[in-house]
Amino acid sequence: MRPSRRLVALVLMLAALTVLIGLVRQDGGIAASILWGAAVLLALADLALSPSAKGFAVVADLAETGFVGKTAALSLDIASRRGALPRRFDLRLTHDPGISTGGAAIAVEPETGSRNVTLTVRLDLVERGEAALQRLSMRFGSRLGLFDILPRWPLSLKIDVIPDVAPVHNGEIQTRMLPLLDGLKDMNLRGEGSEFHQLRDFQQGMDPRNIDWKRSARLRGLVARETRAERNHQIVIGLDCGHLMGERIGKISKLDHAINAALALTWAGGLGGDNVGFFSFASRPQSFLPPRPGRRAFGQIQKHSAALRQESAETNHTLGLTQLNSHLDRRSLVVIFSDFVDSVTAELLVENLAVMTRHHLIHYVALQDPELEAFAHPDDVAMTAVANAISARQMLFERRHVLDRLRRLGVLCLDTTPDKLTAGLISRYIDIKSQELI
Amino acid sequence: MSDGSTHGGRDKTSHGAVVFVVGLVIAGLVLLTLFGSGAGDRALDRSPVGMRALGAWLQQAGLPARISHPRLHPRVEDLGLRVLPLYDIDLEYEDDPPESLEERMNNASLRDIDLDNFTTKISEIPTVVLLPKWRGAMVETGIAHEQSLIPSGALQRLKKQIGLETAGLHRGGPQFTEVEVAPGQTIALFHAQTFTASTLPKHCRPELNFAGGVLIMACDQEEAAFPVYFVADPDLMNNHGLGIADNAGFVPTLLKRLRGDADLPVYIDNSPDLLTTIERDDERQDYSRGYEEFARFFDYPFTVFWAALLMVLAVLFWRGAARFGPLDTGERFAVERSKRAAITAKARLLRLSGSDGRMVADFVRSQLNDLALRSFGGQPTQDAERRFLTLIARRDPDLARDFGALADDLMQNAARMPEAQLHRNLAHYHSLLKRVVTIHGSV
Repeated sequence: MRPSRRLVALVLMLAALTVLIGLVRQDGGIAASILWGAAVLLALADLALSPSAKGFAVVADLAETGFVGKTAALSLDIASRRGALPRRFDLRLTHDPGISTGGAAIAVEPETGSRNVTLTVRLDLVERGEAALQRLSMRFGSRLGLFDILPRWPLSLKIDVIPDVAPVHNGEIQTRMLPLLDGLKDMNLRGEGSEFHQLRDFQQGMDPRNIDWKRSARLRGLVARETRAERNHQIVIGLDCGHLMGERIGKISKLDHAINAALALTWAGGLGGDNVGFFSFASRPQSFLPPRPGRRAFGQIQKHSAALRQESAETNHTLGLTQLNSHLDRRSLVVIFSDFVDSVTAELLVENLAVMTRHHLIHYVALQDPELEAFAHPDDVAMTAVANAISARQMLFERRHVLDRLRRLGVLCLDTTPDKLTAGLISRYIDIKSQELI
Repeated sequence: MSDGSTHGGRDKTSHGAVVFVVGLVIAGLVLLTLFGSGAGDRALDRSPVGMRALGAWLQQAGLPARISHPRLHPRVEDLGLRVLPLYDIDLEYEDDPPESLEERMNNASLRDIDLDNFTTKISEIPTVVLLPKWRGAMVETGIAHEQSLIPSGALQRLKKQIGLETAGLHRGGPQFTEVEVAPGQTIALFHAQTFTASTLPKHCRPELNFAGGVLIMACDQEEAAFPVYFVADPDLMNNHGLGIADNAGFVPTLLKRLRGDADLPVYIDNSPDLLTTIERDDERQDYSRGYEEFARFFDYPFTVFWAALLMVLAVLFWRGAARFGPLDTGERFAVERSKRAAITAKARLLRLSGSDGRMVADFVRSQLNDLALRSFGGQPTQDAERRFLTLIARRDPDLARDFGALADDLMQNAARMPEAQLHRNLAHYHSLLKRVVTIHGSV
């Protein structure tokens, strides 16, 4: 409980009146005492008429797990033990940084005379890891509005915020991989290294060059060779956990966007019959998970990435990428999720990717910042907006310059917004597989 | 449930209350400033026995005059003569302020002055001291009645304190006594109060005789080289007396004579405090600091002021001590704001460099490059802008011509354009760009 703004205003008015009395009257002490005494009595009467802070019961429920970047529903049931609920009250939650409620208080206006209210609060899950709701605070005005009554309850609710694997669960990845899985795309491609899959009866419309004449003669009917993409390739995901990856795009950080996309790629790699490994680095090299096939790799990477945190230090690309290179003993597809600010700081990144691209197929993934684009393309032409646009365009120009250098070195680059990242990455993976670039 | 909305009505009420309270506080402060320090003193100065009219009258007569103000401290060297009206019959005793009207009517000490202050005042510069004559009834009623006079015997202690123990005082009856002090100039006094000529102290000499007595006498001082002048009847110079006969005409002449030749102002000292300052060398000055001065802050009305202040502070601290919900430190948003901060800081530097023209030229060029890139793809080439304008011209030749000319003008000449023209052209360019985008697609 604390004095409301109204009581503060009342006290200030009384203080001003007291000053006037002191100036005007020779013996104003009694008059001032009467005024202040009346105010104290009024405050006591207000407290006596108002509901007590202990007269409420709260039941709260929260899901045990949730995906980062999504919302979780907190169910609250607030009941009054005696009398009706206040006509209007505000709620606030004390929680870990992994949860966001937007900062503003939640205003609740239950029906007049009702004794309980049930409501659902959407919590934004903005960081991976375990996040706790510690306390629920309530605020409502006393009957005469002289006090803010502030009951609060400990909650001790916890939610495990895990990387967003919804595209895996809902079959989105499976759907995107269908062109590769059923072999149709491969059959129309020619090239060395295509893996023989099976023989099929030749049908009208098939490429006659796929006819296996020797077996057709033996079987006395036309049969065609059906191929499929090569399997058991090695895919290694390299994840930069430096301070630049902590930048938030939308609700979640670049690192979280990268982890979500990396898990989707892992699942796709499993479906494509490839082995997937994982490596993280920041100012120093971190752990390396050797490539494994299918769901085993997905489970391991999912568990490992849930504990990853971005560092506040700058990434040492030389150390990280050299360490990764030493782990790879055969040609692999290396997908690097990283970021840079300008061409100078990206110099080491470019040099080390150039070294790796001699033996491996490198795919560099960077995330575009929509805010930077908004700065670069202002809606008005005020001088400040123009100056901001010039400044942002210089950043974009340097970014484009670095990506062009990487492309010239033979590095595949994907520079896209977070909402298109997973789809773009899977699509690029399918292209790599179908073109047998590995 | 609604998310985080605040109720406007509640805020309006709070704002209204705050404005009202602030108004009250300001009113209180204004009252405190205007009337807080000695409202009674001002009433006395305005009353018939006050000296408010004298200053204005001396100024009008061409004699420079300054009236004392509690917040102004003139240097003694800048003053020629002090006029010091006494309203106190005992300089060593501080009277309690009268509370009832009857007490105020009977009060003979209308303004307490300390003996030390009085002694200091008369030793600083030549001083004309006006002896008291009327009680508070004169102030309250404004009527010069016989019963409003201070009994002659009551002035005995005062005379002793100011060194006039032997000087007898004679008081006339309830009529005006007139004396011609100069040819055609008559001064008049009601219940005229004069010194008895035969009883003047040895160190005093008559300065102005009046109806057989001495109205003004000059007394030498041991501590100072100049005399102090005692005026037996204050009505010669107060608000009430200046309106009688030729008193108003005589007083400037008299004060000019007493002041001497130095062209310094007459200082009408209505304050019991020492307001004048003395130019001192860098010598050690000792002050007596008693706790009585400090104790005055705990007398009424300060007691109620402190009590009210404590109540206000208590309520404010209470409100500040209880928080609704968690602290919002805002620290976790520092990382994601870094890029925005970098962009705005760089933009600010660009603005400070004073190269708005070149900045606009660069902006227009990059926008055209973007448009060309979106139209033709690949790397921007030298003639990309021209190709893009040709593309637009196929759809709207007039728009392409105007847009191309203005963009070219901005790219070539923006650095040399006056600021107003630059803004005008940029706004026009933006409006044309919108039309181009409508045709072609967003930039």
